[in-house]
Amino acid sequence: MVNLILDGQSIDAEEGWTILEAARYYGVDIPTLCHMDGLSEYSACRVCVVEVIRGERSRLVASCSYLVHEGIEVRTKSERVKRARNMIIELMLASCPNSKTLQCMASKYGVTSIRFKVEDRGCLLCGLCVRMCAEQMQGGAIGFSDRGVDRDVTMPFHKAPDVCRQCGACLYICPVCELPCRGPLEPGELCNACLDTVQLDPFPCKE
Amino acid sequence: MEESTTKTISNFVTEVVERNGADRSLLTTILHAVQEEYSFLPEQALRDIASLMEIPLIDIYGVATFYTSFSLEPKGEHIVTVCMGTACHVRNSEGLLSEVCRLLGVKPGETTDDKQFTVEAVNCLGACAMGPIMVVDGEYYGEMNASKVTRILEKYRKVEVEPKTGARFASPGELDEFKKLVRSDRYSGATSVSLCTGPGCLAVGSGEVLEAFKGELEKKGLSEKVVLRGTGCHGFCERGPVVVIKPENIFYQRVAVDDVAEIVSETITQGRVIDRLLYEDPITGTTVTRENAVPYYSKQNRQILGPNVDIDPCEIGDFIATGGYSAMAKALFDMEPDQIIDEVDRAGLRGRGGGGFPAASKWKSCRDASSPDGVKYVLCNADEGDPGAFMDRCLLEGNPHSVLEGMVIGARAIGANNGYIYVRNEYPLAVTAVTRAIEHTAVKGLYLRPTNLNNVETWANVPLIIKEGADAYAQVGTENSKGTKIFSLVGKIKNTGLVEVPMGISLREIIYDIGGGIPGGKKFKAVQTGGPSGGCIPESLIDIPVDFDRLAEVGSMMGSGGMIVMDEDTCMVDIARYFLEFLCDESCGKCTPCREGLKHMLEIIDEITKGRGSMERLDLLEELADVVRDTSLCGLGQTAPNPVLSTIRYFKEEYRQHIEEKRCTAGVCKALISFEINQDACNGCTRCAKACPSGAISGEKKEPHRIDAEKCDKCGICYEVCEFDAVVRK
Repeated sequence: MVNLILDGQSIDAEEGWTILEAARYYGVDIPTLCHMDGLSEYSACRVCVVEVIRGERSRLVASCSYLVHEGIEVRTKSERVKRARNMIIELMLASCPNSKTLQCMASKYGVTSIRFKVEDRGCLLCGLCVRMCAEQMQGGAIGFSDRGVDRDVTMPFHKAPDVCRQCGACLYICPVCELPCRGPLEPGELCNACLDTVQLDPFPCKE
Repeated sequence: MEESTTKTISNFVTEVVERNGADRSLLTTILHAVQEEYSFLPEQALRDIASLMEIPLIDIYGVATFYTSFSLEPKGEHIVTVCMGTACHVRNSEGLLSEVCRLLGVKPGETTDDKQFTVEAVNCLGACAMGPIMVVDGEYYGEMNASKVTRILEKYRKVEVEPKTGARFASPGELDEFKKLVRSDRYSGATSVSLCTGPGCLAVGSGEVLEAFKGELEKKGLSEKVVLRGTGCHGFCERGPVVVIKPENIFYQRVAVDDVAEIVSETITQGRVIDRLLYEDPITGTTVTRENAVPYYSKQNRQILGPNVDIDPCEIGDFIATGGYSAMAKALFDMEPDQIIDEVDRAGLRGRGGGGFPAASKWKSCRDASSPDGVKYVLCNADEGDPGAFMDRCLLEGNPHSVLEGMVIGARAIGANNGYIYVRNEYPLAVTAVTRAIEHTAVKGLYLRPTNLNNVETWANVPLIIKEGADAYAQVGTENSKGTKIFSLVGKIKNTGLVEVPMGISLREIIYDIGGGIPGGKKFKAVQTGGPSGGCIPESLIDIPVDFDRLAEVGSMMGSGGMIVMDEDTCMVDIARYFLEFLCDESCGKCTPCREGLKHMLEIIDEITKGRGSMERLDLLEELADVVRDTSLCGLGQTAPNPVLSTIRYFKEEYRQHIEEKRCTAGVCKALISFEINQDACNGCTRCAKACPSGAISGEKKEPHRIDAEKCDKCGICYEVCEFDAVVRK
């Protein structure tokens, strides 16, 4: 067992737990996108960042992959965390404005506008489908190609390989190709009127 | 694809995989072999590799599309590469690239329809001193400008130029030759000619000069008596090709093929100095005969770089003659591992790759770490990704044994039994040099084992510490930064090249005393250090001592030692934009802040350079930069905002001018400038009209010319070619 401070409370956590696991165990809300129980950790979307204070040093880390340590202080709702998290949500929305998952996240955490150029790319590059295919379906049919802004999820040479059984698990897990959010009227608009979040979330982060 | 072709590819791939082994870590090596054979990666080859190595095809496809050195499309017969490194950028490589593309009718990365030319833009070729650089089929063209492109491309289009092998490494049967050449007269005060064949000098023809020396010495029957060395970089690239004749230490600069016969008959045979080839001090006008009296060198402390002059990288004997491998012998036979670590610790050696982390701490933690099977690794990072820095390239090419020696000493200290050197693909000569050095010394070499990684220059410092002792080593430098540091001094500076200076020297001394100041009577504006992760330091801070801590305090960093000097013609907003563009290219694209954040940062700064920015958006840029720094997954993203933040910190006024006054005082941002011809100064020589790629300049011969603003695409060629300062940039 390790002892740490989570949002001002002293808590005990199992050694080897991530901060996210500890937070969920104690009912503290941290948003996630590229994390999924049962799949390997990818640490790429960065929406789960929290502030970790260790001695004099304070920094933001991805809670999905950062392990708990004795004596650290974790803040999940500090100004620094909120600012970074909301900017990340805003950045993701600029590339997938109609994702219902993201629209709901924006409503819940108080992101009210997208200040960046909106360009619907239809993919967040969260890698859930790639890991689902390789790790749960033993497929290995899809993966990443290119790099930087050109990075893409694709099949080799854009042709379905023999290993693809068309099981559909990749579609099932995707946070973008689900039914789009029907709130916004214009592309890039945020609905900010999500009824489900207020009812479902017992610990709303928006203050 | 025809059956026979498919079969040939399959056979080739099978052979390559068998030769290298089917280990997944060798995938890039295997892909490189295929790319070299076919000049691209055929789909069939990737499919064969997948089944032979039992790797999912998509993973191989991912690797093949990730690295820019691989191509899935066939390339042209000639590869035209334009360097977009920082030093080349401040000397207008963008104009050069667009001219190359315009002439060939393709975009960067594309191949002409007749499959003759492929144009590539790369991030740094490490020949910064002679920028802007263009390379055609491995042949370097330095100090290029748009008006020279046509002539060079025509040369390749019409006739097949005889392929050249790397001048200094072309010797078959190396091992035999090596044995034959390790002979006492080579090192016992005989006359020797050391010609620099580093990247800067090669770009101005030292390959040909070396051949000429070989021929001339042979003709005069002197091949046996005079030792000819094609060496690594001497440092003074500005004056290349440079030659040092020993034992007198006579220094000749800007030596051409035509000078060779005279040097042999006068200086070598009769000991007479040829005045016209000597270095002339631009201030005092006096000529200097000896190499160590040249002001550029005399103010330096070249303990790492200095031996380059005496070493032909093909000759292990040369290295041994300069005292090489004596430190290794000491470390292996007379010292215990803890003693070595202690020595390095007391010497205060900090990593030269960028972070400045104490080397001894790194070594110690690797030594203390346990390995399941006792295997540990030492790695050498030669992926000099910092555009504008090329010292690692020069060390590896010029003195590869010193790096190996450092690694062997490190391995002894750590208890490592394997070593790897990672060299970037843009440095083929460095790969040759290191491979040869390894063959000569027979030193051969992750996978979840304790591993210690240091950069090239760090490793090269290690033998010195062991040889001279920690106390002697630590005499040079400041309190927390010991020893010397090699900088590549490039950009808007008179004496470009590699300089090795003691830590703690001021920026002013480097720029003015060694670098000779700013050319063309222009005003100094800033110096950029630390590469894309560093920052721009303004004139008000030019007296700070250069060490790890002071540079970090002013918002920049040591980095690997790129030092790009900028003058009044350099636009700081454009520099920030340039680095962002570079970083967007280098971002792997995995995490959101780096991939998306940098893209939007670039968008905002692009608006500013086009006169469409607002102060509100500038605040957003700063906020976004902060978040990218705070939340990115790796060091690239975490430091990527530095150039933007440091230019906003020191040059906010320039940003404001772009935004509120729609003015780029440096005359760089195309959307905010215009070109005109001063009717009084123009004498109608027609040079500008002939050079203008868009036909925007008209006028009769010997009459003042005019620029049609509608047609002008502001490439600036007219401004470059006018000898009468009649073209005005506003």
